[in-house]
Amino acid sequence: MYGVLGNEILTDDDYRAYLNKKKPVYAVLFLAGIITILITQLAQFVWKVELMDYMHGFYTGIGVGLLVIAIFLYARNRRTLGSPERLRKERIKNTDERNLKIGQKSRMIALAALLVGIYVAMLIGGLWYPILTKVLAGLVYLFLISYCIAYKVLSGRM
Amino acid sequence: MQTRILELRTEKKITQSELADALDVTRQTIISLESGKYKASLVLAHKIAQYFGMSIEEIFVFEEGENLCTEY
Repeated sequence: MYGVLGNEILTDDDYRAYLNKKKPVYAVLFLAGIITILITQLAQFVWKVELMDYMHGFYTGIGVGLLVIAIFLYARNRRTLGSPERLRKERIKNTDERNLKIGQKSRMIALAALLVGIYVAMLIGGLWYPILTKVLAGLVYLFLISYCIAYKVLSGRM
Repeated sequence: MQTRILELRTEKKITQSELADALDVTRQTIISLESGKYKASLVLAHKIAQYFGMSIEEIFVFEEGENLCTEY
């Protein structure tokens, strides 16, 4: 099992199909990068929104970052699909059950760290910026709702 | 739980990489299985048993006192 939807990958052909299915994801990432940069430019030059230098750099950085990541992932995907040896190596590395378990545990630890970080930011930051409590509480609710939905859907499949 | 993977692999004179290749796992997984750091899933245990032509119980040996299930 591999991937968010738990695709069954047993052979190189399964993995090839999985990599082909991922191509639209890179297109979405690329598009998100373009949209981010476009909105930043529109905000500054057309809508005349006063953007702080920091925020302008931040949005542009995010947009360019998304573009670079999309291009990099697409190129890597293409290279993997073009070489049967590389495809097999990558499939074994990415579907190895020990690697998957390590990834799963690491994500759980990172999630716990993230929740602690959100709690601390809400507790301390909220004293000066009350809006922060609403935004961060919203993120926690989003997490809880997504978790409940995913749990319900996945429990029906297993 | 102890495994006899190292012993069986040595008997068969195959390298960790060759075994990993045959089982479709990484070499690191074989190292971890042999050292007892990682416990194989049922599917992998079955594959290993099939590879050596033995039963799972002959390769993965539970130590005394290790409760596998609760008796009622």
